[in-house]
Parts: sequence; C-alpha cells; structure tokens
Amino acid sequence: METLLKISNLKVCFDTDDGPAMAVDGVDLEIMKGTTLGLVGESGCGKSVTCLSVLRLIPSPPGRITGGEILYKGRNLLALPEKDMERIRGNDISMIFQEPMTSLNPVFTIGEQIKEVIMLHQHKTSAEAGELAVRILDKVGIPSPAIRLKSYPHQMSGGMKQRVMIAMALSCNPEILIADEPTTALDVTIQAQILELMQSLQDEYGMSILLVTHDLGVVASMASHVAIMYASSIVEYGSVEDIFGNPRHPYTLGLFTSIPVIGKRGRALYVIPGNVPDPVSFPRGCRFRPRCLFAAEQCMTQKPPLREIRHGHRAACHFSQTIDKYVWKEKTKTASFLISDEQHG
Amino acid sequence: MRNNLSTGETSRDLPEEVSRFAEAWRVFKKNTPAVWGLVIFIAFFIVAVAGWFLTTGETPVLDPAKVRLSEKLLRPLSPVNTDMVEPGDRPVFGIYLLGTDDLGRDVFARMMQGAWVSLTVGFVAVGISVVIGIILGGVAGYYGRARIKFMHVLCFIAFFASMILLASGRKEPALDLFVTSLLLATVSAVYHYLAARGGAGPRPLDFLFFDTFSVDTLIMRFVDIMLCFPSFFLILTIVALLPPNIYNIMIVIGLTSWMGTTRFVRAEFLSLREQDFVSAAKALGLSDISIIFRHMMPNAIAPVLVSATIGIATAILTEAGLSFLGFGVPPPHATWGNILAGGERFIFDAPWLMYIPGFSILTVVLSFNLFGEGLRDAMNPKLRKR
Repeated sequence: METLLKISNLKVCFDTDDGPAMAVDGVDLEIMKGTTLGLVGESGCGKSVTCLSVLRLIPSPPGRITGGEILYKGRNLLALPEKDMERIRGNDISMIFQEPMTSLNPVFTIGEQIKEVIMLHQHKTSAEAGELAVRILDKVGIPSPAIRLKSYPHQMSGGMKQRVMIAMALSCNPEILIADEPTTALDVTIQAQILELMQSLQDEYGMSILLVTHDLGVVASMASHVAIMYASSIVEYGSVEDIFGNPRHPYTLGLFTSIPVIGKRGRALYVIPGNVPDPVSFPRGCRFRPRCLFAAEQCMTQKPPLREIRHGHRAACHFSQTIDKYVWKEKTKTASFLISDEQHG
Repeated sequence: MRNNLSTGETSRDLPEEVSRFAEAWRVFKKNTPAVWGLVIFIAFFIVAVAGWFLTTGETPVLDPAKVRLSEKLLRPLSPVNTDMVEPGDRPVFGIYLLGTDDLGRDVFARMMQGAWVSLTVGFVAVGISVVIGIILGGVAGYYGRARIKFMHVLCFIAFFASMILLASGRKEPALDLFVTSLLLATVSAVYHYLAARGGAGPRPLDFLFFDTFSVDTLIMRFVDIMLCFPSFFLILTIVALLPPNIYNIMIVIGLTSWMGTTRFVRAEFLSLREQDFVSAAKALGLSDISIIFRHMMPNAIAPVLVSATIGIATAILTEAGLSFLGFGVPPPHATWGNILAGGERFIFDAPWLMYIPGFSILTVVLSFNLFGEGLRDAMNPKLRKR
C-alpha cells in the first residue's frame, strides 16, 4: 500500500517562561492511502501539535518546529515556501477542528464560506462554486442545502456546524483529512452520526484520515492503524488488531485496563498511578518510568527507542518483548494492592 | 444511508431569515434618544450638502461673503431694507432668517457654508484616523508577537536619521545615510530570501539578525507616546506652523486622533486571532491578507464604527475650537467656529451671533454622541437579547 504522508523524527518546541517545552519529541508516523490512522493520547501529550505541524499552523512564536521532516508525496512540507504551503492547505490536506461552534466565521453565511474555499483552490466562478457547495452540503447530510447556504452559523446546531466544517474540508477533494477530536464537543448520538459520515465519505472518495481522539472506542471502530502517544512521543504503533489484541507497552496496557467494562462489578477501576510529566522537564530515561509497574534500572538511564516487535507493530519499551496482557494481568493483581496500600498510608 | 445521517430537519423548521442589519435596527429603534440622534444626523447631512450646493459657484443662491454695511447686526427674521440693498444682493426669502453679523453678512448663508465645513472636517479627519487605526491595530494585533530583527532596526534608524538631516538642510550626510539604509535593506532582503530557500542551520550574518522588541511593543508604545501629548495643543502647534487651510486642518486632526481606534482594533484582533475560525481559515489555505481583511475585519468593525461616530463629533468640536481661536479655516470662509468667534464681541448687542452657531455645534455633537451610543448597544450582541 502506498504511503501518502510520512512524518519522521518531528520535533516541535514551545518557548515558555519556564524554558523550552518539547511538545512533540521525535514523532514518526505513516499514513497509507485510503486508510485511517488513529492518534490516541491524553490531553497535552502533543496530538494536536503534531496535527497542526503537518499543516505548518503552529503559532510562532512561541512555537517552532526544531527538527524532522514531513514528506507528502515525496515533498518535505517543512521546507516549502509559505505560498506553496497555502496551496496545499485545504486542497491536498484539510483539517477539521474540535470546536464546530467557533470554527465558522460568524459574520458570513456558510455558503459564502464554502464557496470561498472552492473558488480559492479550484478557480471556479461564483455560480459554479455555489452548485458545488450545494452538492457537498447534500453529501454531508444537510437537509435543503440550497436554502441552508444562506444561513449564518448561529442559526445552526453544533452537529450541523460540524457537518458544514466537514463539507468545507472536503470541498476540494483533499487526499488527507486531519480530524482533531472532531466529535469531542458533540453529544453521543451526533458523535456517532459524524463518525459514520466520515467513514462513508472516506469509502466514497478514498481519502486518508488522521483521526485524533482520546476515545479508544472511536479508534477501534474507525481506524486501521493506531498510534498511542505519551509525553510528546509515540509509545506504541501498530494495526488496530495489534494494539487492541496484543498491546505491548505498559502505558497502552494501563489505558485498556482503565476502561470501565459494562457488567463487570465489584472492583475499583484501575488507575495509572501518578501524573503526566511536565513537558518542560521530562524525567530522564523512559518518560513513563515514574508511573510504570515494570520500571527497572535500565529505564532510568536509557530512553527506549520505538522498536519493531512484529511486522508493523512497534513499541517504545525496553521490555516489550516480554510484557503482554497475561504478564500485565499477573502484575496488576499484586500492584493494585500496592497502590491502595500506599493510598491508605 | 443518507436518510440515517440527516438530522430530520426540513426547510419548514428553518429560522426566519433575519439579517444582522435588521436585528441591529430592531434594538436601535427602541432607544429613543439614539433615534433622535440619527434623525438630526441625517438632517445635518442634508443641510450640509445643500449648503455646499447653495453657497458655491459664481452667483451662489446664498452668498455668505456678501457685505452689506447698512444692514449690520440685524435680528433673525428681520426684513431687508429694500432702499439700501440692491436687488441682486438680497437674501433669497427677502428676510434674514438668522439675522446678520457686524459686516451685514447673512448668518443663514454663513451657517450653511459652515455646516459643509464641519461635515467634511468630521468625516475626512475620522476617515484618516480610522484607516491608520485599522492598519496599525490590525498589524499589532495579528503580527504582534513577531519580533523585529536588529538589522531592521538599524535600517530604520539610518533611514529616519537621513530624513531628519534632509529636513534640516544638510544634504550630503543625509544622502550618505540614505544610501546606507538602502544597502542595509538590500542585505536583509538577500538574507531573508536565502533563509526562505534553505532549511534550518546557521547562516553568515546571523549575528546581525537577533530579535529585539516585538511589533506589538513598537506600535503600542508609539500609541502611548502619541497619547501623552495633549492633542489640542499638539494640533495648535502644528496648525500654527502650517499654512492655514481646511485640508491641513482635516489632516492634522486625523493624524492626531487614530490612537483610540488602534487600541480598539488591536484588542479585537487579539481575541479574534485565538478563535477557531481563524485557524480553520488558515487550515483551508487562505492567505494572511485575506484572513485579516476578509475574515477578521468584519468581526472587529462594530466597535470601530461606534468610536468613529463619536470621533466625528470630537473632530467637529476640535475644528470649531481651532476656528474660535483663530487657527482654523481662514476668515473669508465661514465655519461655525469662526462665526462664534466673530459674535463674541457683540454678545450683548447681538446675542444670536453666539447662540446660533453655539446651539448648532451643541446639537450636532450631542446627536452624534447619542447615535454612536445607540449604535454600540445595537451592535453589541450581549445587550441584544433583552
């Protein structure tokens, strides 16, 4: 399968008052044509920054991309002049944002906003762009699209606005759609509709999707590949089957254990101990070490590289060859007592 | 599939189409003083335009400059003394609607001419200040965080110094400095061109391009400096140095009153810049220029419009003050300020010479302020739902 976008060793740094914060530190990702890559991680781990750097939208200052490359169809996006980058944004790579409520300009009708994008990238007349806009609005499931073109954003609901955002993002048939938590601000039923919509549009247009979320359920149903991100780096990468069936990194294992299961009662839910480290001063060695149940001497000094375990399945842990869900189960049986003891003490 | 996706809304459920203008008007018309302000605003506009048509040309209908010494200091509505005044010199209605001044000039004609002056001074001065304010405020708000390189500071200082030297008449050092600044500009242009082409890594001359202060600091501290001057006295000083004519007055008032607009626009841009729709517009491939002027400006224009309306009132007042002090539009041309100044000497004999322009200024300025405040309430979405 053809690799469409290849991010290698991406580093993004934000200058803060406390010193430089490495928001993204050596991220490697690949997006294949026509597939969905799910990027999962907790808040502040660098998911959104990774997405924004693909389009070079990092606010600068304080942010700057300090290293790595992003290859799109063989061209390094980080070295392109701004003018060429403007042609790629919206046309080849599009993005939809977390907050549909504020992502549309309140003073223009949605028709004007969709038409502007089409006219900008495809050099169509206003009338042609209008027809295209009606068609794309119909595609994303907006009823009576011709009338809706004249609506202002405040006249629409959140789900409708997100549909409009998707319509705008898809209006130029992009190769890649970056969806930065597209359903976080929506309620559960609308969430399902939007995800279903994205999937059906992907089937129709054959675009690739980079889906950022912290909802593992969404990833399981949408993605073909998954990257788990922790403290500015990828800790585990693989196909959905690999990650969900055979997780090998203690952080991934911890994440799955902390999902509540319907019908399972009687025990306190597992919690990964400790807090996310501060990106200004990451711990030395492995960044997950202070919270890890398997931490050893080696983890203090060496940062584990992202190593291949099996074909296409990679994890950044010194012991990923030996740790799997069975080992984990044994360990957490004793460890959960340990944790509760500490809490009582 | 499609039916499953739709939210089940049909065209009948669509909210009634209400434009932003209609919405604002609905709120505005509840504010009675503001509506009166608008009415007077429109009336003043019509009077001023009519005044311009009626008082210019070879044989104006209303001649504000016609001196009739026999008819001096007549009360408002006094009839013409037909024995003394030739038929061609008589006012239109056969009476002096607003009386005459100490030279027997028709005050009505002079007020009409002055209305046009006030209107143009108000609009042109505010136009200048709004344009400067929007550009500087927009740049400070949108690009504010960018830092100016040391080289550019050098370049600017050299250019500025050469201009000062040129103004003080020392041509040779001025030319030297000007060439230096051009040279520095060329060097930095080449540097930036190379920087844009090549990737990261050190380049020669990097030591000349370290960051100094931010664009925001430059512009906003300049605003602070301008605000430190008591503006009326600054205007007085500049006007005293320039040949007195109406255009200089407009430009000077405009150039000394843009600071408020700059602050407004910058503040609006600072909050708009963080809005998602700006990131979304960028992500869709729009250029900075079209984001600033097409997407952010319409969102920021409401407070500017309000401050401009009140700014017109201030400009009219400033012009009247300048004319009253004798620094404004030179004498044969009538303005409300110099009619007032001329009437001051006859305050007991001919009080209408002060009351008429005085009340006119009061009414117009008050109506502009009321209209401006009404506009602000109508434009403010937070005050709308009441």
